[in-house]
Amino acid sequence: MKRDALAIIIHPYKNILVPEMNLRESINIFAENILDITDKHNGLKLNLVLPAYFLQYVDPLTLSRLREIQKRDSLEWLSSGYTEPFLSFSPHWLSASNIKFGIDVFEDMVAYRPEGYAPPFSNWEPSMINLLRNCGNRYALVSKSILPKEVQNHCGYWIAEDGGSTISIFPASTFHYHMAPKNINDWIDKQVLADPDKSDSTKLIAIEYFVPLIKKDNIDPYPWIQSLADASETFLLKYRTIRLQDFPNLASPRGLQYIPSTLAINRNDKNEEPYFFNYLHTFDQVGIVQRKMMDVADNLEELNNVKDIIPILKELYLSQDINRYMPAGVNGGFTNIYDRLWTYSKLIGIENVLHKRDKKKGGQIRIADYLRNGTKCIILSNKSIKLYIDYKNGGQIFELDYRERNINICAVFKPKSEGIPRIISFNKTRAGFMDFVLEDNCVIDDFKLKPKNTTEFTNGYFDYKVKKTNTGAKAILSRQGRVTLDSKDYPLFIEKVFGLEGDISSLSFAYQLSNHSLTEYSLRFAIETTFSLLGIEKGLVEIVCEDKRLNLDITKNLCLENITSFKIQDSFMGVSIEFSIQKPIDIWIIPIFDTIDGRNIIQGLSVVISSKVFLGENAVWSLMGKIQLKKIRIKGEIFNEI
Amino acid sequence: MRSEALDITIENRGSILWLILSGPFHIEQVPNIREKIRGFIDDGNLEIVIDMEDVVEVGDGVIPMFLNALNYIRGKHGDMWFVFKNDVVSKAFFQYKHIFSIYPNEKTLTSRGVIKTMLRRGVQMSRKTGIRLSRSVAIFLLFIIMGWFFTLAFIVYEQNKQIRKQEAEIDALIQWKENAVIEVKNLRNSIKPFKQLGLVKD
Repeated sequence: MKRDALAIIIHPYKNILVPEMNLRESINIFAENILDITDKHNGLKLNLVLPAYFLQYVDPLTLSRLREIQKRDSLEWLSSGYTEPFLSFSPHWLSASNIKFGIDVFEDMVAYRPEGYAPPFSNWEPSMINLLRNCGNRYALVSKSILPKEVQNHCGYWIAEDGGSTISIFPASTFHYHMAPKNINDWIDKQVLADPDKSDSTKLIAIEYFVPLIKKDNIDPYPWIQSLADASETFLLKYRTIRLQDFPNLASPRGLQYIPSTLAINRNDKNEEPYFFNYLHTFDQVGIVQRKMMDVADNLEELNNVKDIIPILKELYLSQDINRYMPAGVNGGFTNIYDRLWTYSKLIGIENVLHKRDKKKGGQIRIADYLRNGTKCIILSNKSIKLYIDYKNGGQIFELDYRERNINICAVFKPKSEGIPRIISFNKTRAGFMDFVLEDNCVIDDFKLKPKNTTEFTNGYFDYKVKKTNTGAKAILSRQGRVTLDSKDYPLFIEKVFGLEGDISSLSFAYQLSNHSLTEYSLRFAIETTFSLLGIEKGLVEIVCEDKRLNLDITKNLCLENITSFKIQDSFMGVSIEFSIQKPIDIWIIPIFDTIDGRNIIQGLSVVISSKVFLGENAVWSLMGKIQLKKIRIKGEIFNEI
Repeated sequence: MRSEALDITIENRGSILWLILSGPFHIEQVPNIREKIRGFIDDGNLEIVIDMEDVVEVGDGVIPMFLNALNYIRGKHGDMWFVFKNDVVSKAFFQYKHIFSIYPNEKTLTSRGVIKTMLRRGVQMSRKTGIRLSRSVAIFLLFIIMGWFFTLAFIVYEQNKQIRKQEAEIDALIQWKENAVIEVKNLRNSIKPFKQLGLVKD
């Protein structure tokens, strides 16, 4: 009697960073639960989707028991790579390397090379067909939601093609544990009835069940798998459980399907996003992290010595993981400050290793389309600091890496999503050295409202020059514009210089404001830099103003007048940011809060260097200063999660 | 934008400033690059290497700009070198290859000394002949060859010394002979009158 096929795919997942110990415990709990179920149901066949690095945390005895089940053809492994590479966001060679390495790890750990690939979040790219074939994969498992609606009810598999390369596609119904159907028998029967193909061919019902390794609530995901396993024994006459690789022996593909570039945002059936690339880039910070990852990957690709590169590549695979580039609310993904800084930390660590290999001294200047958006930016770097200047957008520093601590201190997120996808824009990016020209009676509360007439210099195009000597590197930016003060327009020329000296972790800056007219006017000039400091939430950030320690109250703004030096010390991240200014200025320290998922989350600390400026006829006003970054003792460990 | 298509990296390697260019080098970018190079020279960088291996297109005004820059830096007693081996840039520089110092890669440029040239030559020869020597064998053979040379030199030296001694002896004998001849002549002259008188038989 003909029986249709039921493919049960269990997919444990982890969206957030967790300590390795917790991951080890969770993955072993998962493996034990699976073994319990398979022990009770000997005839049950399961498919397991795992990134290969999970296997390295499974207890060896448990792993050997899983291998036994696999040897008796009751278990098939599917791979998503060594980690879960974001295929659309990563260079092809890196994705291929990640997938191949994952398959190699599977072979080492369980003596099996997975033939099936499950792209994370069903992130499909037509060009990946060739990539998967070259890695040895024969088929891919995706969510039904990425197929055209008219074929989603088909109970079979398809052939996808791109440029002559083909691969089998198994579409599955995907469930999170809290949305799985209670009556599985009825659900399966409904799927079969809904199949438009009424011929005698064997049908395939594929269920992909997501099991969270790190639970956020009290719902136990395993009873549903148990109930599915129990149900499989009641409908043995109608359906039999199979491994996905066995189904092509039972039935032919339904036909050809072209699947365009797509992604299922929540891994499930309900929320497929065809223009996900644009959607993701409407968010802040994700583009900068991704560009950094691609830049590191480009530098790594040039290395020939394969032996040395493997530990570095493993770090890059972790940074390439799709979960780092998805908006997962307050708990994970790039919207979470810790997660974001963790990714930066891995990438900066790799850059430091490459920098040491090259043995460069005295700094480097790069002018390149780093943001891959058609416009150049200036990158000044030495052994200790790396800064990225967008001279076309107000000469802002959109990334400031303190390499000795592997941190980016200017990675503040703004949750407001823009309509047009841009990597950096004035309304979105909370960068460093954003210049504002304000009315001279402007105070800290007025500043927070950000008057619109100040945008000419805040996001205007600056001309640039670069200077390089044996001991240092400098970028000189200048712009001639106008300011509107008291409803009148005045000409203003701003020149600003950023400089690095030798390999010192010190950023020198200088501003010169010039009035080339015969009209006198006064204004308040403000330079805003927003710092991403993990210690703020934990109460481990202190302000030291001319040797006096001040408690940082994150519910209030802080105003310091007529000072020439102050420090911000974050003992959670182990960094001290020390400002020295050549003349007395006012400092406004404004904690930045945003509401995400109904919670008030502190994103960072905005430091505004502000001064009243009087410009007489043909007058020049200047300001020079230095930001020194120093290591201080860290309280606890950071960035050692996985 | 054509005037900004080129990626530029500027760094110091030792005392030399490296300017690494990548992408299409259009004529619109010539003023920008010229200004940068002049700026670096004016800042005191008198040894500049321009790495154009990743340049994919060379516009018309590029070579004259580099000629200009080369003149400028040589006028300040500095020098400029180029590193590339790709076809596009090689073709653009072909007419001027006797003017510019061009190297295929960084390794060739940095190994310009005698010893490094010898090492490089050694590698080339071993590839050609298939003969590979270990360091200890090479040092041993070097000692042997040097020993031969020293021995040869010593023999030549000794023989030279011997010849000089013999020459000196010959000179001394010749001198004695000449002196003897003169003395004999003098003695003959002194007894000539006695011969003429018949007191002494000839």
